[in-house]
Amino acid sequence: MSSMFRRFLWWVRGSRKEAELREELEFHLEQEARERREAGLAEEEALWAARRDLGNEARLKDDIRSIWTWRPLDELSQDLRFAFRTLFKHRAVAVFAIISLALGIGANTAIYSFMDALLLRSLPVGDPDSLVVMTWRSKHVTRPKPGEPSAFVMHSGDGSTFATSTGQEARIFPLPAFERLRDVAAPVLSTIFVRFPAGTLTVQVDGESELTNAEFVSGDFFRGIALSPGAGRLLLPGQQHSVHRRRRDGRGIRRDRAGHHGRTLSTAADQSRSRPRGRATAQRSELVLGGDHGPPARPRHA
Amino acid sequence: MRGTLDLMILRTLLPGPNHGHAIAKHIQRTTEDLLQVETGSLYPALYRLEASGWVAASWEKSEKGKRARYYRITPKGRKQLASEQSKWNAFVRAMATLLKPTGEEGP
Repeated sequence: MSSMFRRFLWWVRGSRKEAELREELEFHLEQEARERREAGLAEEEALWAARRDLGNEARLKDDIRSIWTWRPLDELSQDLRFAFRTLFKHRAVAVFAIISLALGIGANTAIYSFMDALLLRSLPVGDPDSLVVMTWRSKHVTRPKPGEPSAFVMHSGDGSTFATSTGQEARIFPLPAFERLRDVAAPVLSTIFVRFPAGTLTVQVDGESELTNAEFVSGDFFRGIALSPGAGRLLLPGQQHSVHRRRRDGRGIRRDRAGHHGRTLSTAADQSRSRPRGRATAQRSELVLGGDHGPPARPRHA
Repeated sequence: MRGTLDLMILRTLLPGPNHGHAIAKHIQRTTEDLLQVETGSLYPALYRLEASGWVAASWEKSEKGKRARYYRITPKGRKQLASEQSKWNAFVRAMATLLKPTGEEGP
């Protein structure tokens, strides 16, 4: 036990220490008086002599107290008491000061955590720096005359397109374009995959229903972002091929930020006991993509 | 001299634990009243020694049956006593050499 710590303990038990010191000095006085009585002094005189011998008792106590009173700590507690007393006296000012401080700190924290998520933290995927988003660009759209087939390749109503100075841009791709890209992308891109928001789905895990954000993804999605499942199995490359072939309504191609999937999978990892939502999502995507292919009721890897 | 009182107290406690008054009386008696320990410096010194961990204190019954605060020397205190004692011995030797008349002094 260090000297500092011992003094601190004494300081904490201040009142008990005081009482002990008083008792110790009383004992000393008694002993001294007894000795003087035994030396032949009268009762009263002996007591006086003992007191004289002790000297200034208040000063003695002060000297001793200064050993365990840790001055900086004592002054700090005095300052704190004074501060609270003053705050209490000027309540209105204090309340405003506290509120403005709280708001300032809160706003700063909120802004920082937002910027942190947005700018500083990278995506929880295998190689976030190499992810790219591909955009489809075409010539300006000219609305076809009634009865005439559209010359424009994007006729999906799902994806939004927007006009630029050079033409029309979209984050959705026609399926033939995706397939062609997949075939020729190998030297440049290690994987190419599609994701498309599927809205909110009700997922049943061990008899518990839950709302969760789902996405349609192509078979290479999980391999591409290098996610491993918390439990269960993921959609594998090649499992959506035959399905896609018939679906020529231009589901878009995207290499995008992991978005919902990252979240779904990471929460799924917390629930190792139950069937993970990651798998549920993968099943669901296969079912939906196979929607016009036949009865969707039998998932292949259930 | 600084530390002299500490040295005296530690030496007095070497045979066994004792309370403040007895320590003072013991020093006074052993030195045949040459050294008188003032109460005003004895108790602060005891508390200082306790804070340094050289002595430990506990409440015990005195021979008269009253509760008294008994001080006893700790192993750390023994070490301190040894080092202080050797310092003191060196000081005494130095003073003796300085004060000894040699007969070859001065011009």
